[in-house]
Amino acid sequence: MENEQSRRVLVVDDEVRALRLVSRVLGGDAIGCRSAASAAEAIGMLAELTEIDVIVSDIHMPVTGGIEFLGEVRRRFADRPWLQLILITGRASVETAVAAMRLEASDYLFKPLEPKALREAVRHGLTRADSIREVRGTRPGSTGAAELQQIADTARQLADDLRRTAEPDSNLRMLGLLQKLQEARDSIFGEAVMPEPAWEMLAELMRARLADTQLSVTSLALSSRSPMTTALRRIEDLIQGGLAERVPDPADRRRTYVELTPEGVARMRTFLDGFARTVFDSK
Amino acid sequence: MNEIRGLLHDVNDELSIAVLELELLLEQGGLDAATSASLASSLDACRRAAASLRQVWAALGPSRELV
Repeated sequence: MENEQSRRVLVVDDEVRALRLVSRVLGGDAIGCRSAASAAEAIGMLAELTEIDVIVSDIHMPVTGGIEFLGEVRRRFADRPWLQLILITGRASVETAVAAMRLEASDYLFKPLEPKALREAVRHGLTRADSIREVRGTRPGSTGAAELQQIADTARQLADDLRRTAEPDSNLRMLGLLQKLQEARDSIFGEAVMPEPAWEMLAELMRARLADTQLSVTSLALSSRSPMTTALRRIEDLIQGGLAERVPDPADRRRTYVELTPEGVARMRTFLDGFARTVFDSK
Repeated sequence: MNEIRGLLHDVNDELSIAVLELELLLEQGGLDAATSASLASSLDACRRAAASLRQVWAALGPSRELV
């Protein structure tokens, strides 16, 4: 049965029997589709038919494989962000999963195909394509496209703001937690367990970074809870390791601050985020 | 080893076609009980074969190719 969705799904597979069966499976759910027996044929159809919203493609195909084909689709039809890609694969592999993520595939199905899973994936893809087309106002007769775009932009801005404010806060909380753990350790083991000056100073530099303040060499050395000569050596180690750098105070040439380098900040964030995941996942 | 993986793909593709054919036949309905049970049994056999195939794949180890 033909309906308005009949021309919106493109199935690509070099195996003609599979094409016919997938068409029957989707037809049973009133979703008609077009089919192509090669990547080249599919590219040609996409160039002509702008109404296609969902592409279902086998990965294991001769000449041009499914991943290569879908990468080409993303490049050639970058002006159609509503295109939903559904990959069909014989077996799970990390490489294929990563490739699917890079292609922003909407679904990933395994053979032997189950009709129910295929129909659900296609229906989901059609709904997503509809939403994107509606927001972009690319569907003739779409209403409220401008308002939807405005809502989407506001939501994106809000998410960005949250990300900016949440990350430092989370990092700061993890630094506080680490400090409490250390205090607990000190109270139990006392001086029998030596402090780790390089780590102490890295944590102090990260706190300063998150609080948007600067630390002089002296202040930083004191935070290490170790003799000054040891602290200065460790600061040098951090600088040599590319984690910290000296920054002259423009108002006072005699004073030098120490700050984390971008690499140091990135590594601290990686560590603290990983620590946060460990703490929260273990709840 | 890649040749073996290729053959396994072919087997899996054939199984996939058999599963779809059987699923569609069962969906259509209108079958007598014995035929329906026979198709369901065949479908089950295909799924078991596919599960065994996955074990063979796992035994062969990871492949760098995109499959």
